[in-house]
Amino acid sequence: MASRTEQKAAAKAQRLALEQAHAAAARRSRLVRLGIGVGVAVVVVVLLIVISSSGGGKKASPKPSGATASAVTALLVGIPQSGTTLGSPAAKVTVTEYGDLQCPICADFAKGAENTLISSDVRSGRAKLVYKSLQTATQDPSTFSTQQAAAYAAGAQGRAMNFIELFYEEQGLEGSGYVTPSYLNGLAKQIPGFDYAKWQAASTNATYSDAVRADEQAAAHAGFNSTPTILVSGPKGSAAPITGNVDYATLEQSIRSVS
Amino acid sequence: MTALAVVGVGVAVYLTYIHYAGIKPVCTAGGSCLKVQASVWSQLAGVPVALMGLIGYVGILASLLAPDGEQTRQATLVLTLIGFGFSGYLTYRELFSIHAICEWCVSSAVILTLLTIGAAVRYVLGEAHRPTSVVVPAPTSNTLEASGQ
Repeated sequence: MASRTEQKAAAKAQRLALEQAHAAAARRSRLVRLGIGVGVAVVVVVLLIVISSSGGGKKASPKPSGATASAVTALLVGIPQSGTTLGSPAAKVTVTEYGDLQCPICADFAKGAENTLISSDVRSGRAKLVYKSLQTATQDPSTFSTQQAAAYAAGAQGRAMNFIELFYEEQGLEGSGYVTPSYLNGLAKQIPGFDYAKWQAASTNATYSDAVRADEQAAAHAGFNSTPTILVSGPKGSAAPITGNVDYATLEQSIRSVS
Repeated sequence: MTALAVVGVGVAVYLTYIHYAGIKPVCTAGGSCLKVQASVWSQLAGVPVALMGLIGYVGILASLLAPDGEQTRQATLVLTLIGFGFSGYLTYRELFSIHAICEWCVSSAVILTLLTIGAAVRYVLGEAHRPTSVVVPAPTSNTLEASGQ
């Protein structure tokens, strides 16, 4: 028969063995949880990289759409255009937009509030819309100058706003390098009643790139650094500049305040 | 670590704001930041990576502010590992695809690296400092009596 001391020693050994077994089990369980956590992190990162490498499924170089061209034509038809100004020269309110044709926020604004502005206030002769250039989203200054000058050159035929609206409607993936001579030519070819050859010859004219540069200098002088920046002026003065994709109600409020 | 996460949130808020406002980022390296910000890799399935970073930093901050425990430490580690991995990929794109370095992105990458190291150390030390939770009952008098003592 075991003595009391031996029994105590055996019980202690049993307790230690149990503690070690529990500790080992806890360590194993913790390692498994850590492995699952690291595994999840790796899977998520790989997934993010795959989506990013595939361009996120977004269009890099959009295809021209006949429906888009028709919608732009319908929006602008019958409204007088001169250079980059859309609307009656006699309109008392002037809405000036500083934009970058590759800026997605500008495209959102063009498709939203600006669209309503054109179809109501500009069409009715209450306001005129002036487009000016400010580089923000376009990576390369040379591409920026080329694309903006191409729009200004369309203004020589009273079609600058057609070109600008089409550009915004068919805008590609930001930073993907989709703006090429072929892309710009494709836009010009969608404008009805447009002298394509005349535009092509004019688009390299230094007058238009100089005009783009002058707009940028004016924007810098005014302290503008984002697009779209919208200025509303009228008989009662000028409203505070508005930036970003504002809604039509905000724009309308500014127009009323200067009318 | 909490302070680092707060700085990370600040950087991500700024980058998200300038993305949506269409503002040129403040950058000492010329137009490098604009080039990176306007690149195809600045968005993921239409979502700006700056916004994803903001969500990630907020998650990391929340896991740090939550009551300390095995699960929160693990959550911090997993979130920082995801951020570190994706940030490493974006840095690779900056160097070899965009050929421009954005100092805001680099600062975020550094913050995430430090947070990952911190989270790993915190997780490992968590076990060492954890009190033994296993309670093994000592032999009772009944046990001794049953054995004839």
